[in-house]
Amino acid sequence: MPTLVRVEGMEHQVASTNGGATGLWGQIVTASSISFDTTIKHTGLASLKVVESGAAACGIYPIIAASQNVIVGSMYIYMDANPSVNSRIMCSFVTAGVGATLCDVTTAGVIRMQCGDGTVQSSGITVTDAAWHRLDWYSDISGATKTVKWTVDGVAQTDATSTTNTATAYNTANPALGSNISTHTATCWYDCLLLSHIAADYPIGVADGYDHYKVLGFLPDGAGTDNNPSSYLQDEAGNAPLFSDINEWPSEATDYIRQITLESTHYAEFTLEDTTETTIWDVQGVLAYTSEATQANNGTTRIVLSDGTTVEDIFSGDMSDGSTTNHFYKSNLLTRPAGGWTQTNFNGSKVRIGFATDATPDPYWLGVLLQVAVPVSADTLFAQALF
Amino acid sequence: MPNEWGLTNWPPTDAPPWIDATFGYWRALVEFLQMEGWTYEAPTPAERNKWFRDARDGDDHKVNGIIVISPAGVRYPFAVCTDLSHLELLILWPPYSAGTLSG
Repeated sequence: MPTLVRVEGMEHQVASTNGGATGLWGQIVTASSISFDTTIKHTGLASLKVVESGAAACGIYPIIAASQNVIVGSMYIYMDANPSVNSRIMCSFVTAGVGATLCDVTTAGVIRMQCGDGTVQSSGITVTDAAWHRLDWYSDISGATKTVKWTVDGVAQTDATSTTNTATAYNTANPALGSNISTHTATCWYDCLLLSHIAADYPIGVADGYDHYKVLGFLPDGAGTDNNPSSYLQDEAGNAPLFSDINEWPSEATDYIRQITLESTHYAEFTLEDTTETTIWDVQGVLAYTSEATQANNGTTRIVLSDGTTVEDIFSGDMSDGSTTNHFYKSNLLTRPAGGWTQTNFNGSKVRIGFATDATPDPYWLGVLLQVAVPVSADTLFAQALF
Repeated sequence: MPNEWGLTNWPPTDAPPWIDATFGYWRALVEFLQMEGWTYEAPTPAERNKWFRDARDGDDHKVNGIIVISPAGVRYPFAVCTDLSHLELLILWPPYSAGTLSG
């Protein structure tokens, strides 16, 4: 099973850097170029769409931990037209130098890879055919020779390498989905992005016999067992909190849940949608929040198993980044329960919100979402082995 | 008087409009600026007087100004509060504060 650090299905449909280093995105360049598409998508509810303008760099950058020198990535891409100039659709950067991962699509629709200033390696594969294509890559800048291994639709391509850069760690906002070049003109949809920092994970899931995977979204869908005897947890109108207050994405503030008085043991609990998937790799929790005002407060959003055992907090801490004008986000790959995720323990999971030890101003919960990475049957690989 | 973000006299209304890019945290901002060849300088007396003198962070701390200069030569003001346990960074795009480096 891959050791993932990020599961990103674009299910939240949010392009925002609000939330800091534990938020959804580290960097966004040319926000108007970025949208989410609920029609063209690989799996789940939505995909990310980046329309490069030809006039400015356009891209959105997930967050990785500091000092990483290996990025193993996998995602599905969709393009339905050739760019008017050779254009970048994915890249990874270092602070200085040229040891980056540069994945471009040519004016003929062919996907190619370059490592820094090294030789451009073409796949010969056309990806602008209005179909989803799986792109896997493994970028290693730890040694003197920087190397990018890559695979398109399961077909290994010639490594891209560079020997001129001395950087040994990637920027923390990586990889970029889009281009750093202002003249580029690709339009690309992205979905089901997985990231790891373990070389052996490349290509993700293949060593376990899976040639495809998907990322699905799961929302609060019912009442759990609250510990809310004083009604400190309530909705925006002062009524009992409901799952429907925190199940809309992209997040909205027409309804929400707030904690009006501090009480560290009080919470509202909600069940989460079930899955029919029998193998679950990892679960990424996403929280949308805001605050009555900007003075410090706190709150916790916790995923628990059916018996109340804590899986992990999506977030616990200060929720006062901004007043209700803007929404803020936290994203956390949850520690797997003992023995890993199963259909049974996932379907028994619940979310608890509250636990504030400082509720002045009130912390507001706007939305909770689980993004779940699951492998797809190995039937195709089996068939390839037979025939 | 603090605004809805808890900040006083920030963002400066007469600062150059920030580029169409946002960053979630200090490090991402610094990495971008370094990668793209931006530079920095101390503010001139006029800039200090115009942009930083009356600015306060969310805890009413005074700020020190720094001018970040784009490759095209545009001078953008950023501010860091003077409380060493806090060091809140004031930025030019919502939420206009990138939070604290420490404390």
